[in-house]
Amino acid sequence: MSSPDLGTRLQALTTALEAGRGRLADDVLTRADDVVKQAGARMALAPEHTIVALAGATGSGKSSLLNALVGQEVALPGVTRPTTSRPVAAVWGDPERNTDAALDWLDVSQRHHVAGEALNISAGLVVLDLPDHDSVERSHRKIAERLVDRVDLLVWVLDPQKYADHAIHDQFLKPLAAHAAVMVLVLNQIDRLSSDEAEACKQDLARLAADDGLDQIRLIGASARTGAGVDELRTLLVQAATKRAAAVDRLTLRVQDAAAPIVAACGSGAAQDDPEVAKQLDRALHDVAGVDQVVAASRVRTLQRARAATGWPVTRWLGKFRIDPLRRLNLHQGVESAELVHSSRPQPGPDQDARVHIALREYGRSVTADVPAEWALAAQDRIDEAAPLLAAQLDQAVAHTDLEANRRPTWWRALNAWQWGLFAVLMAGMLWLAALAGMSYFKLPQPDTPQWKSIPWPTLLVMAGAGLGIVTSLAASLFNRLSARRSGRRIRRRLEQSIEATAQRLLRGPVREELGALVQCRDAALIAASPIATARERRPGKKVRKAGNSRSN
Amino acid sequence: MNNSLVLLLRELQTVRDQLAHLRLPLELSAAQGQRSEVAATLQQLDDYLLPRVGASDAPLLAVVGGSTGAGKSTLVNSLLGERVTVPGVLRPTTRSPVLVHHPADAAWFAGDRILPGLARGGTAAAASLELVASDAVPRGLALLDAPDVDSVVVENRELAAQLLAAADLWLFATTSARYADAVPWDLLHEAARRHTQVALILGRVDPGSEAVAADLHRMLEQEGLAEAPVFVIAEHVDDSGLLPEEAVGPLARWLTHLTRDEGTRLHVIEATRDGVVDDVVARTRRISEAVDAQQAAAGSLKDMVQAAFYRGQQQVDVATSDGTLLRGEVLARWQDFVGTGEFFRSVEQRIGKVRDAVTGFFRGSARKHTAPTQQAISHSLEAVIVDAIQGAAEGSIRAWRGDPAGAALLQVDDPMPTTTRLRPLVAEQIRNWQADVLQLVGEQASGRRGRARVLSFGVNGLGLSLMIVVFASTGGLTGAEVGIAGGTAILAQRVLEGVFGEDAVRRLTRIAHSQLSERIEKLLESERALVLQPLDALELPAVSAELVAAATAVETAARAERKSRRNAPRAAQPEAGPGDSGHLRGLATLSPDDEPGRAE
Repeated sequence: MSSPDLGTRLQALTTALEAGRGRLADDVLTRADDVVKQAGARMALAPEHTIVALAGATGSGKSSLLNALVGQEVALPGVTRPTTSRPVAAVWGDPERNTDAALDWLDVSQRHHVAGEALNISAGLVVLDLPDHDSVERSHRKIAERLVDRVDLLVWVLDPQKYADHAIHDQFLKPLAAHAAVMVLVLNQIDRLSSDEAEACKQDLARLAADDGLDQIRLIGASARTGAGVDELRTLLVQAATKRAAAVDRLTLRVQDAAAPIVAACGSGAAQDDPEVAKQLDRALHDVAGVDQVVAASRVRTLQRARAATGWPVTRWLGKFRIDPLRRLNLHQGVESAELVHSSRPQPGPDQDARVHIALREYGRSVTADVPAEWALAAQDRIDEAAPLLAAQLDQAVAHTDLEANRRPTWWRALNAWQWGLFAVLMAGMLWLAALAGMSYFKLPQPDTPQWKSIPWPTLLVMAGAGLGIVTSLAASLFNRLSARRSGRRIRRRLEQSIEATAQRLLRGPVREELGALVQCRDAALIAASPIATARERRPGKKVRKAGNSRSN
Repeated sequence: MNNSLVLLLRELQTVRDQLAHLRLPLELSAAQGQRSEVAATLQQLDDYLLPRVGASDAPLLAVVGGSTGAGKSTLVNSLLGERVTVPGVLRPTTRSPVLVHHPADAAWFAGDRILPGLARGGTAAAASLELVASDAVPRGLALLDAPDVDSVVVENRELAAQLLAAADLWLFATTSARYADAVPWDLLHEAARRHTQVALILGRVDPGSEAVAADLHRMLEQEGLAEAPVFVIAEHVDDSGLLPEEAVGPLARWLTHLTRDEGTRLHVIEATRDGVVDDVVARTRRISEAVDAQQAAAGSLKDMVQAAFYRGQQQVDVATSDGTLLRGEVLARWQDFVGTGEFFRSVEQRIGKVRDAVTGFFRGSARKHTAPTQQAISHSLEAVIVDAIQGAAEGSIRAWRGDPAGAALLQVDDPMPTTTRLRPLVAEQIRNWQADVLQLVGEQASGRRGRARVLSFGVNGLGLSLMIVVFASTGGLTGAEVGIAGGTAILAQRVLEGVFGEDAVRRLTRIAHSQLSERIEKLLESERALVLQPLDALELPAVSAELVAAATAVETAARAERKSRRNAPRAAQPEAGPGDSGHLRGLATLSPDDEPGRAE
């Protein structure tokens, strides 16, 4: 796998920070923010220069070493401790190239320009003499820490007396163990030791460094007084400056450092979806929304309307006295007027509320079971935000659902026409019979009543009209029941769908958003923290150079 | 040993015993530091103060401390004229501290009188103390070569601090490269604060860096250690690995003077001891504040849980008495029970008819009819109680999470009660309550007056009615509630009143309600105890008053002891005294009146 370049890493780190803000610990955020900011500044200010710091304890000879490197008195070594209280810079290379901005950024005001030809380098090199980190002057330590963070290459200057100090190993070398590639250890003042002792001392230092996690680090024995090892260090610095990769390498390491705690804080878990818990939540929401109640009411309503539409016209009017249960729930007007409607279903009682709370709690806990606490809390907060809105929103969802309050299937109309036809036949027969009865009452001559197979037509009409009407009604009532049940099923499905949509909008969506941010944060942080390709895999300096250039352009 | 010292020793022993049993288990932000303060105080009491107060005439223990590579071992060897400890180029040197004493003083150090935590002899134990008897050391003086105070090895650092805390006198070694290091100065600052007697040895002074000594004097003055003598030693070590005799001369003379002159010796011992006594008093007071802080933190954590569960209790109380519980499932089942929903709507106008209908049902197989309503009550009540408990636990957890000590307790385990565990517990209590109500109605019915009528309605139906009435017992029903839930309750109430009479119904309602409240309270109580369990499991320190009293007692005893010391001038010279035993190297190099600190 190819290792991402600095630009990609920085972008990923920024993404991770955005996704994790408010969830990640403040110190992690602050550190990563700093890295992003400083990386931008460093690449903008002097991308071609290599900035080296000589860091170390008071009295280890940093200033003398700088003077030895430069070949002239640049920094002032002293006998009383601590000496250097403000950093000193020696700048090699083309004076045309502006390093002032970078040194301003580093807040280094004492600058000495050194002719570049002396070192035979074309690239820019800046060497800083830092204040100590272990003296009674605490302000020195502050300055040193800030610069240790910002420079490209770190030369740790140690001496035979102080090379095993707790201060340098535990507070600097160990935390910077990952930065071994841009660090060098110099054991200064070896002139104070015999050569055997110097060798033993170097080995002991190498052992301590390995304990710090710096087993591959370059170690040079040097003496600013005799000049031993100074050339070796100088060559090393010139090489690094010529390669011009140190700035990008160091920044990459710092981005990795900043991203690692983010990766750790994000854990490895993601949203958990337990279908059993989801089902339980659905049930509780249905309960609050009153699905059963509404379905039952709309079934009764459908049946009533079907009866009114298809019942026997003779007894149909009786249905008008029945109460419309949907009207009682204020849901009879249909979807069109839903905006204005609040259903008048009884408010959910405390028991229903309690069931929803229990289900929400269970849902929140199960969905965030594998997620770090901060993210779980954020998701839980979103659920808590939604909880008081649920009842009203579910009510709206129900009001917006098509309850078939005004649906008229065509077969109702056909059946209705048929019923009225039969009623007409019945009425015709009745009128005919009534006319005959009237004529007989007034002793008028009976007209010849036509007969069908010895049954008089009017009687036949009455019998057929009434009989078929009743039979049709019975059949229709059977059909109506079936169709009301089917309609009830349809309505239930629709209600469940719109409740599901509400839950999605109010609960599942926000929770998924929160936990999605976690995944996004982690994925981005993983890119930012991904291991750097080893020197063998990498074309020397090429890939990282590209990153540096793309940012500086 | 005089009486005032015995008294002081006893009071110090009291403080020690109290500190030994003190735990500061809550993770307050300052707790880490406070715990190490307790440990350090305890250690100093054991290592130094108790033995020192117990035996003023024990040899003066001079601990040679200082930074890595400051030449502590070389210094000790040079003073003795023999290599008892092994100095080296490699750091950290001086792994096992060496205590050098006069052969006649062996008894003082062989046992665990001082530094009881360190094994004696060259054992392989982690922390051990090597005893070396040397004729060179004067009687009444012991030199202890301590590890580096800034060693990269943490055990060395801790051991160094422990040994320095046990010293009557610090011989603090530093070098011209080191003398401005922060770590040793932190220790010196402590020493100055405690009035520990200190002498500085500035070694490895290169030619041309004489300004260093002046600078060191300046720094000492700043720290209030202007009195401390400074011995400057040129850096060269001769072939035998020892410093030249002349270099250690002033120091050797100073040390010898210190041990030979009983007055000076006692002065050094007592000055350090008094400083440590004062320090122990101050520390004990600070620790008592830490105890208060722990108490207060525990109290506020407890309050958080208490408040959350109180809210839970209120929530249940309201839900079970304002009639709202009768809205949903319970209402539906009750309506099924009494008659059709449609019919029931006009109940208030036609209460008489309804009563007939009800009576009909009661007379019938009442048990079969009451069961669904009872179950609906159980379910609703169960949900309300489970929710209240979980809500209270959740509230407690949230409150704790916002508190560092609480958050640390939550790490131990998650106190959120699961629904699966709660449900059966709650259900059982509700079943028991329903049984209580039936029993209550049964007992009421066995009175003569109601008996016949009860028989006609059935105990189950009446019990159910009582439950319904209980849920609307505050009577604070408004508007719509009266229509639905209230209607439900009114019907039940009429029925009950018809059977038992108004007063009896009021009494029964009150009893049934308080029985329910009691059961719910008990449930919440036990759940609250579970949430509080990690807190209760801690060994919280007892009240701080005892500590404060112990500290004051030490202070008083110390004051009395100092006064008696002032009033009773020292006996001129001890009988035999340390005599002229011991002969530190370099003693005879320079004129005796050569003043320490002004050497070179």
